Amino acid sequence: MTAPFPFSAIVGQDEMKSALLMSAVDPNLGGVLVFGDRGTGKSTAVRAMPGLLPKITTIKGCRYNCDPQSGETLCADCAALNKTGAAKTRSVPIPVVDLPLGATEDRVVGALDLEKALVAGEKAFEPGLLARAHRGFLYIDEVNLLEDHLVDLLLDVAASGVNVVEREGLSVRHPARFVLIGSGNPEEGELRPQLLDRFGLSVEVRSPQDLKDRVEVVRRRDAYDSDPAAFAKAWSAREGRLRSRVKRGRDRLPDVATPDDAMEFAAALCLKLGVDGLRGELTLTRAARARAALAGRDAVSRADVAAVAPTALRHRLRRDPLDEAGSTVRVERALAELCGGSPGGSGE
Amino acid sequence: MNEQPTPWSDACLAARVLAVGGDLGGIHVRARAGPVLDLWLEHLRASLDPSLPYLRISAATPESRLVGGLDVAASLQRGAPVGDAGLLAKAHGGILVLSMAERTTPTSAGIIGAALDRGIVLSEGHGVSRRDVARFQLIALDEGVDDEAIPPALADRLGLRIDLSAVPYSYAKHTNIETPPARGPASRVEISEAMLDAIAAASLQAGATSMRAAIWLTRAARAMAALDGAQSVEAHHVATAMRLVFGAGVTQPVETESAEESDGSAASRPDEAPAAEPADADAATLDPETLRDMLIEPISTPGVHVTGLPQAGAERVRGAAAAGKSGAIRDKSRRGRPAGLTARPPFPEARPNVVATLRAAAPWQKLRRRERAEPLGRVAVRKSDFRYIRYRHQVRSTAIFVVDASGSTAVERLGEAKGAVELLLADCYVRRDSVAVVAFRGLEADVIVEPTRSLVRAKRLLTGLPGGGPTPLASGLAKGIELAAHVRRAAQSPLLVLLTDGNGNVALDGNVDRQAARHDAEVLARHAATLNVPALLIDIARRPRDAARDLATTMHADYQQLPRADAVAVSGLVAGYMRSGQH
Repeated sequence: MTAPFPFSAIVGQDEMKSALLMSAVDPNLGGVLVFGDRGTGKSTAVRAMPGLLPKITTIKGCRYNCDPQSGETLCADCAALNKTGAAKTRSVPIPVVDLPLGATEDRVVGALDLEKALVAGEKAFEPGLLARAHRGFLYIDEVNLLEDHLVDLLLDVAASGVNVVEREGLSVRHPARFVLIGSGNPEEGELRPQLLDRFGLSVEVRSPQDLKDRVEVVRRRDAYDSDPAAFAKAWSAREGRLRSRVKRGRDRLPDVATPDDAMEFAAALCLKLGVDGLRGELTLTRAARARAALAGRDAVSRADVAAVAPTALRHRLRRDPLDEAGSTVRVERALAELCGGSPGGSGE
Repeated sequence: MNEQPTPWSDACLAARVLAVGGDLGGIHVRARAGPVLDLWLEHLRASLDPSLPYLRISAATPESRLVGGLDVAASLQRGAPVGDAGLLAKAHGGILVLSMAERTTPTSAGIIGAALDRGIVLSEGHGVSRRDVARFQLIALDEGVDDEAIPPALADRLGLRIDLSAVPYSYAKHTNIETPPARGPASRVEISEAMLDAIAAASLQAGATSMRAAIWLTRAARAMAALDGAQSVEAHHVATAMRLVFGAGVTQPVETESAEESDGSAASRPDEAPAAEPADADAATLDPETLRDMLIEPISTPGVHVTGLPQAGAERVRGAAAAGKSGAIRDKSRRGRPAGLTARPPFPEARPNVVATLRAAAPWQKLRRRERAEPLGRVAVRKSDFRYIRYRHQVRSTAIFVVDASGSTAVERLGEAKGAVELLLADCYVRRDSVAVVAFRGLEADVIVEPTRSLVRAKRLLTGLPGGGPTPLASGLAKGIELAAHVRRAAQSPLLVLLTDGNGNVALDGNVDRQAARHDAEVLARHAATLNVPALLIDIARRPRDAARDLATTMHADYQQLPRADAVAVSGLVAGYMRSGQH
């Protein structure tokens, strides 16, 4: 297997990179949607993620990556093992699982084990992609082309954290907490708005327009093509630093404080933009915390909230067909007004 | 380089570049089926190692065949699951020819694109999980006419593009079929930093915003140098690579040649100098700026047009207004093209497909027989085996413009409406959507343009559109609704676009009576609302008052004010609605 293109060697695309890093620090952020131009390194970035993630401990032999620390969300096998005290743990890399286009529902949620059914005539459950992705990442390239019912199902499981399978005479429940990462190109079809705002963060990517950046992309890509292993080695120090930043961020996250000031700022911003529901506000503060943790700070500042606002809110705004500006600009405009004028204004 | 390149010589060159190795994704071939294409494919095959796979698929090849899955027959025979590698995996190491590539569905394009990107193909379907190596080069045969083209997701992933449509057979048949070039040395070719910079700049200049284009250009330049037997990439390699990567026209300005010549003689003949020297000399004497200009020139020269690569600007306009899934394809349709199988009924009274259901039940027979001790010879089918054929039906949209052409509307309004319709038609043509125009003036409304996709016809009909007289708004609405119902019966989705200030003064019966006119309009608006006809009302009054807004509310229409409605704004707005799933 050739070494993947290192995450730290991706030129520009800072918003996408920081969104992915934030979701690596706080898996509860609700996933990331990366939409935009072709050839901007969307998949490259996601596929480079395993190199940045720390290892996790799971129960040995568990097919669902169960976390030995969490008492109630164990799968049936592990719960039994835990009771007898026979559970052994091992450390494994955080899974980053690909969901290919054309995948069928049975392979996603899990189904009857075909091999056992055919050979032994035995009824056994074979876990699907959701089990494999537990505690890790589930990546869907071209998420806008995925069958609607699959997307619904995924978002449902992602939100509840449990996969319930009732089919072919099987009845299985297992934990399935994963970070959903979707990418796509809006020209091939937009995502339903109902689905849009179920992603925690959303990023718009554009091809780099700056010549310097483009030159750098071409150079690095050429170097990588010529010798992937040597390229990965040359970047390993930077990749290592980023990895430990993520690790430290994960450790620090529970202790990051959210002062009232930052909280109010987030609320005012959501109000100003007319973001419906609490979800936007929650994600906004959570993302700001992840950002602070990643930067190694102990408390969230207004600057954190402002920096993550476009990523956390742009896909939650109501569409205004006549506002050509687009949602990113609207968020920025609101930010400028809030910071410049009277903060915490009553909105319109 | 001593001969003037032609589309045919470039096409043959592209085949050889592909054969030299280096991951170039493949070739986007614009050509109609015919002897020239066959000849070219023959050239391609001849330049490849005959031991490598050469497979041909078409756009209609089902997705499940592309990625592979379970071989039911073999599994039953063996009594154990037997996987079946898909066509993409079978093409590993070789060539995959995709014919009628312009008809490829977005999903197939996504699957093929992912395989091109990663060199592996993942399959998660019907009980089998596979991961196969699939490193192949794709030859996409694009027979599209006019705006029809292969999905941009594929075009972006193909490194080279050629156009055979203008190559006469009599010309092509005189080329000798060449033997395969040596394979693989492309990665050993040196390329200077300055050259890489120039490549990045040139690709941007060529209007290719996707970073892939720049990467293809780098790889193609390396392959060109390898083909040349050169040790390092030189400017003329890049220049030739640009023609192949951007599919630019043929001409190469004379300056490029002369610049090289003079440069070559200054640094002594390149081929006489020791191996590594010429590149350095080349890069040293040519500063990046000059190099860049030199490379860019062939494309910015007027008369030479860049084809193929999707352009940025045009695409970005979308998205602003679009909401919902593209909406153009209805998946749960009862008719249309079969698009695979599904385990759940696509519509309530769908009937399971017998063969597909038996296929799904087959692997479980042994298990079920054991479980229930069912006698041999009877097939045990459970509800979970039911398989339905899913049809996919392309839903066409029809925008029905109902335009106020009365005296109260200035002539310029009418002009704008005409302009918008024309713009929209041009845009619709790409998606095979249609447009109709109802104009109301005088005593009643007329259907000026019946639903049509023909730009020429609509233009002709529109030119004859007169203006002036009283405002029979109600009649206009009636005609619009009638058309909408008609469009629906043809299983298409209508969108009513009203351009009016909301003030009518002629009732349905043709009497000039403001009161009755308003009443009639209101009734019709309510009617439209109950019929659930998606509508957009564009208020074209100079000073918008409540009349139009009220009408929109009654109709459940979206209301937009465009006091200075210009053609581009109206067309943009409507196009946004038609793309979105809002109707």
